[in-house]
Amino acid sequence: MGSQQGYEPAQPIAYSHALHAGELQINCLYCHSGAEKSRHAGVPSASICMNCPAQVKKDAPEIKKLSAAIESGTPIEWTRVHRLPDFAYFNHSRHVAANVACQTCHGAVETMVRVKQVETMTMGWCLDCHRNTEKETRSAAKRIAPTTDCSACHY
Amino acid sequence: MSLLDKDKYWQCADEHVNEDEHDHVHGYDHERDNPPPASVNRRSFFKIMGLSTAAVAAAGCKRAPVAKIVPYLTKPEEVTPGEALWYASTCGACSAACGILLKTRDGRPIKVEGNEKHPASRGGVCAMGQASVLSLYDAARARGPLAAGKATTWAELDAAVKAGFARAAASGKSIRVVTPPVVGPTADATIAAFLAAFPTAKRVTFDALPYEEAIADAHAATHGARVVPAYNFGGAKVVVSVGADFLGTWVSPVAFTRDYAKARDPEGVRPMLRHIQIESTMSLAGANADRRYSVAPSDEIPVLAALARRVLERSDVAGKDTLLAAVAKIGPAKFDARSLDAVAKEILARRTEALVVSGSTDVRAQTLVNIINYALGTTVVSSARPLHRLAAALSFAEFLAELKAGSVGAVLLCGVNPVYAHPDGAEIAKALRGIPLVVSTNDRVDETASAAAYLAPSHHFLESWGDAATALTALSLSQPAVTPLFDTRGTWESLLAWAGRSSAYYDFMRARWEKEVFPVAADAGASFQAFWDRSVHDGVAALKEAPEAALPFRIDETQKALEGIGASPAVGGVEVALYAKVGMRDGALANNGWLQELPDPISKATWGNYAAMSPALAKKQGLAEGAGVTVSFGDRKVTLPVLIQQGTHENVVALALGYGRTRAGKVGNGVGANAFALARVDAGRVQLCRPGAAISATGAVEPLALTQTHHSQEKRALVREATARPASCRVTPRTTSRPSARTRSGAAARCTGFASTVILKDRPKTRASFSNR
Ligand code: SF4
Repeated sequence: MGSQQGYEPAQPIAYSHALHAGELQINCLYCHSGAEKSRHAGVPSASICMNCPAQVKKDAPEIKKLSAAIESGTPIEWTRVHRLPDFAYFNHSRHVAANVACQTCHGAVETMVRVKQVETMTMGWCLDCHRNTEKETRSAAKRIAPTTDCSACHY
Repeated sequence: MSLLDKDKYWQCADEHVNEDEHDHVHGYDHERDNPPPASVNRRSFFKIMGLSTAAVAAAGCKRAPVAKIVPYLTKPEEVTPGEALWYASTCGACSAACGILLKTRDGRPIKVEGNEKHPASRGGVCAMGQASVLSLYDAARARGPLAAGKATTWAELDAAVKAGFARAAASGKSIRVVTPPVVGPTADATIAAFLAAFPTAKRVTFDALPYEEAIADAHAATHGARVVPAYNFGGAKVVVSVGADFLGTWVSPVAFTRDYAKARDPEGVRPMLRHIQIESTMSLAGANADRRYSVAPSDEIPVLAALARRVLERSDVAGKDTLLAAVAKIGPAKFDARSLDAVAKEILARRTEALVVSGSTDVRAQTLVNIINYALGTTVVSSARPLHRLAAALSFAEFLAELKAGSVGAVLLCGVNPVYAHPDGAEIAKALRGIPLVVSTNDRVDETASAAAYLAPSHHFLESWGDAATALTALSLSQPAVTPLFDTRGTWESLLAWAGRSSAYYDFMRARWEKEVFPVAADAGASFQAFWDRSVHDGVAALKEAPEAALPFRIDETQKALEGIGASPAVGGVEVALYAKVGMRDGALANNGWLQELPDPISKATWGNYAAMSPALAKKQGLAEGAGVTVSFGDRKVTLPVLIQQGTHENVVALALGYGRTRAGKVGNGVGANAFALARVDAGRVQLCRPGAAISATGAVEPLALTQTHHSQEKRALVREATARPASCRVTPRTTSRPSARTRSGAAARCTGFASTVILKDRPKTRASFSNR
């Protein structure tokens, strides 16, 4: 499949990152808590979402969709935006631990009303970063030497 | 000219005999089957490449398919998507009950590993344990309770079954609960609770591979306790196994392999354990032995008697003369007397550190083993702290007699499949159909369950609570690692429900642990809750070491147990040896594709069984590998392809059990033939060897799916031969054909194939590092 750069699908609930991450400045990891511990960043469960708006804006039509999902017991089916092929292994937690900012790969999500794939997310793009990071951090106190081994991602 | 000395290394017998290294033996020839493409020149290469690149580019214009992310509505606290969760549990695929760790992802068990905290298996699991996770997802499992083959609800089934039991009780007819002999202490307690609720009920045990029962019954005679003793292979200095494949299938193979491997570590601090195997079929244990003798199955009892006589004569134990007199009545062995002397000499040299075991299903053979171990005064077998204590129960033979007499009103079959795994299976099915109430808790409508009116399908063991005893020094615990996939209910939960107990099995088990396990637990701590949580977390709970007095050896009873064995009857024909195969055993997991696909460690055969025979017998019968043969005793017959297996006794045809299922499911049905049909029933007991078989060729040829000649060297020197020297070790790849004194036996070479890429000619005294020059 070709590059999915620019992919910007509609979502079942018109959730705005620009509002939550931008204006309200909620930390990315508050909702995508898996990014620190797991290979998947994860999408928060509906009950986590309800923690906030339940208190704030109960009657907004988009939030009603959320409470309806919880009431009916039907999970929300978000459309996946970023997707690496099955033959490439990727682990969020290693990148978060290496202090790679979310925006490096996902773009300025805090400005997006609807999330869009900004980068190409091809192998060459991964390798660009893996090759240059070591050079950039060579003088820094904490040296990061990302691997360029084939088998690190393909095994 | 090949690259390695054919006298030393070869992958199959033909390769050994015919000079050339070839793949053709099993129908595959690399050069013939992979012809180079008809001359590709530079131009046509680019043409092909151009086409495929264009195809990729065209495909690249498309969008990837839309994928969804469906998060939890409310996420369970311990789950992080993408991270595996591990649960400690106990393998339920055989009575050995090894400790396992179960990897689950998103609430689904995906991988079984060994639990290092388990005192017996110490991190090991066998192929069946590994593959058991696939059986959890087996599509042939029953989806819910059935009444007369139609779906019903648990409430309806319970009402009908309870009414049936009440009717049987009221009419004074008996109720019989048929279970495997070893089910775990809490399950035993559940059965006791059920029996208490119905005065006419009794437990019957059915063991498809009845050697554990034979061992226990021999101990009942010799030691007055129906136990399978604890065997300490790690503490022994010499092991003599007469037909027991203790590394592959016998009693507790994983734990024994652990002990054995440690005791045979060439770099260990103690002298290596010496191992002598006397057997009729090539087994995993036999392939590892220092000395291997082949014996006809009918000669096993005379061989054990001859060993017993030699050992008794050189010892001064109480009752020596009585035992000698009893043993002397057994006819002479056909086995070479000089070899017997040699074996006797080895065990007598080690006495208390010698261990003799037998894989026989004959109680008399096991009694002879007990006599030998008693006369040696061995300390590496313990019946006081046994591996399993078998509950008092009716034997299956007694049960069959009752069935035929019509005194049984209700039968409850708990995870047993005698219609398949008994030579008189068809008769049993017929007898069961005449019983007013037959309930089965098997996990599918198998051979036996299809003769039952009601199916109350049990959980897979990965969905259930349970426990198992490990040599009475620890209890191993099972916990569900997944919510039951189907509308099933654990066997013991059903038993409690039918006994009128309102508690769930989990509560029953916890209450029993609080009352009976907590007080005897080693470092139990103050609170039961903490102890329970820790036990569930670890999968095991150690028990206090209570010193137990050794059980006295009972001379008179032993003598009685040996009565009636004369000289082995002279029956003509070939002897049939039925054996449990690594990865299939009694065939309960026959519908597991991984196990069917698993090459047998000895024959390297996959998918199905075969008639294994020695090259000599095959030659005598004029049979080649793959030729169809019918092995028969009167009208009992089994037709299978021939597999030529070095190491098989010259007059033996060996057939693996566990194949030829008819109602296991899509994968297992009709794979191989059911060799249980050929088992002998002797005074009600099923015996897995039988002399006097007729063999006839069918004329058909069926190629066997063997992996033995896979991974040929393709005429490259992949296997390097070297001499490892201590310390400054240099390894020189050598491809010459220098004859060596350390020629491996043909049989062993067949079973190991080329497993490693460096062959050490001498055992290194220290760990050596290798450099290839
Ligand atoms: S020996 Fe194998 S099948 Fe038996 S309990 Fe152990 S792991 Fe499971």
